[in-house]
Amino acid sequence: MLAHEPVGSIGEEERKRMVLKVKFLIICIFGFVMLMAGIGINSSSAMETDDCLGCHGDSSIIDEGGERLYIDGAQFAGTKHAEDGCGSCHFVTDDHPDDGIRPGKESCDTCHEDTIDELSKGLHAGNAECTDCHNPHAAKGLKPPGESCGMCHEDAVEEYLKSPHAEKAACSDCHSPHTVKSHLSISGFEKNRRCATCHDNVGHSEWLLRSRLHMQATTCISCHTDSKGIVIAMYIEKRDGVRPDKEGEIDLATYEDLMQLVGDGGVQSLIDTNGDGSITMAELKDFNKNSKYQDVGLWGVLSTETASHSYGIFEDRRDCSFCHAAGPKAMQTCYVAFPNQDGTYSRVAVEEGAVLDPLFATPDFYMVGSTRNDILSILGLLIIAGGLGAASLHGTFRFLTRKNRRKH
Amino acid sequence: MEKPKMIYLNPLAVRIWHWIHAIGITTLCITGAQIRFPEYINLFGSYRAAVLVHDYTGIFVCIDWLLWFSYYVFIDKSLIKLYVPTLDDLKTGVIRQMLFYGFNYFRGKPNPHHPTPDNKFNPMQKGAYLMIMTALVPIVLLSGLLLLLITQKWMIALGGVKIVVGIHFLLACSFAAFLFVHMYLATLGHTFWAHIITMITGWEEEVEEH
Repeated sequence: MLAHEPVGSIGEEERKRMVLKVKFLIICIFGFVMLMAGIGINSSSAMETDDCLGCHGDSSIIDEGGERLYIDGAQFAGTKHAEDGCGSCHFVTDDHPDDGIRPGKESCDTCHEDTIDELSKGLHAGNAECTDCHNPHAAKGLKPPGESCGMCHEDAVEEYLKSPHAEKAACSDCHSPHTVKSHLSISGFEKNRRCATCHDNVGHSEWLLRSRLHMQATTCISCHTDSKGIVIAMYIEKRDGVRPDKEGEIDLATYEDLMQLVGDGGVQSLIDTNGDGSITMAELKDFNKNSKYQDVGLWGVLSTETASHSYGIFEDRRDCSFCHAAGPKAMQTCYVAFPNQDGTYSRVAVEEGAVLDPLFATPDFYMVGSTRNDILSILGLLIIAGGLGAASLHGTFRFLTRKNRRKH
Repeated sequence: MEKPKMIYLNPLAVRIWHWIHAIGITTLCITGAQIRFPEYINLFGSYRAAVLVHDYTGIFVCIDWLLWFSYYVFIDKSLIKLYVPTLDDLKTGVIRQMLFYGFNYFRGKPNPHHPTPDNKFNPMQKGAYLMIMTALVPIVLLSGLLLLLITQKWMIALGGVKIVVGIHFLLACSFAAFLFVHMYLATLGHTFWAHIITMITGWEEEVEEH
């Protein structure tokens, strides 16, 4: 037993010391956690969203520091940001606002990195801040058109709000502000696809003859807005021996497709062989007659130089002669749109009169009535005049010699 | 007074297709003119109406041509006999007929060709009708069908829509020219209306040459 007592007493003390150590350790860990939590609160939010809205949700704060300090609590509650709380973006201390420190603000790209990356490639990059269009405290995060898009695009928004289309769709339903491209740098087909997002079953076949062909060769806005400057944009389509018209879509050649054809010269050298930034009739004809390029061809689309937002149904467009009777002089402007690596298009001007050439300049683009060739018309009229003239001449001699036939 | 000798030159089927062709091709020429020159010609109210009339008339004339071709090849079996010029026609007949129209007609000389049911056309008519009915009409109708259907695959194979349009337009102009000449020549019978009446009744008065 003696042999066991010292062992038992040592064990008890040791056990007590261990318990004390564990208790101390727990207190240290708890203290550390609390310390860290305290630091964390100071660096993100010492307050709950409700605390913030206690002051910032009261409109009287406008009188103290301006409208920017007021947050409509009901609107904010409907945003995705409300789930994260004020502290996810704004840094305040426990003493706010008595600490005299202007609260810090988190950058949008902390959470929206992909969107910012997307934005950096669009037309808005460098021209607009996130908060120019978005109010992070408002429902859905988007300001009304008049306060967002309209801040820069005042005329367009004013024009759009007058059109019946404004009742059905907001700006962002057609334009993605993060990927926005200029009107002339996107293809006519891309523009039409935007319209088709809502107007997916519009064939016009109940009144428009060759309706599918019209859909493939016209931009919607050419007829449904009063956009000015009608031109022909020629896109390079893939043919590969089979017409891809089963889906009603033209199969456009991509930058990569064309690079395979031209090698190092750049896609524009496919037609603009001398690289002077414009395309002559001779270059266009050479391209169309070149057997090396038989798997690609030019597909013309009636486009507009400007993009009006006066959407609607214009009754005069139902009269085919609105487009088909303009006469050759109206069809002088033509471009070839080459695809860029980023999916946009760069236009290269074509020498005047390309679409009016009778044969090889634009062999597959013909707008009956309006792209007729004058030489061909004169030749045809001469043929008719020949028939009429022969009959008239013979008839004249017949009349003059009528007495000779009476003798017989 | 002795009754004139009458010959039955044009059976009913021939007369029907002839007049359908006549109305059809005239309609196609007029609507086609409006479609190409809408700023100057508007006989059908609207452009759309002109295109619709042109489309349907074109289809109708296609069917009519097929009936004509089938009749002469499979039923009457007289296409070669009536329309293909003989060796004599080519050697002397054509020149004789040209001389008549260009010279002897004005001198009051008789027509060297006397139509019979088996030899209805003079050598010039044979050559012209053979080319028109077996080559030009099928080509203009086929090009019209291609433009109606806009079958891109065929268009590309033929060199593009503009080649098809060009062929269609120039042939249409040739038909318009032919219509003027044809209508005029139809009045060159022994009386002004003789040939025209024949194409209505089928019977032609055989003229005694003195």
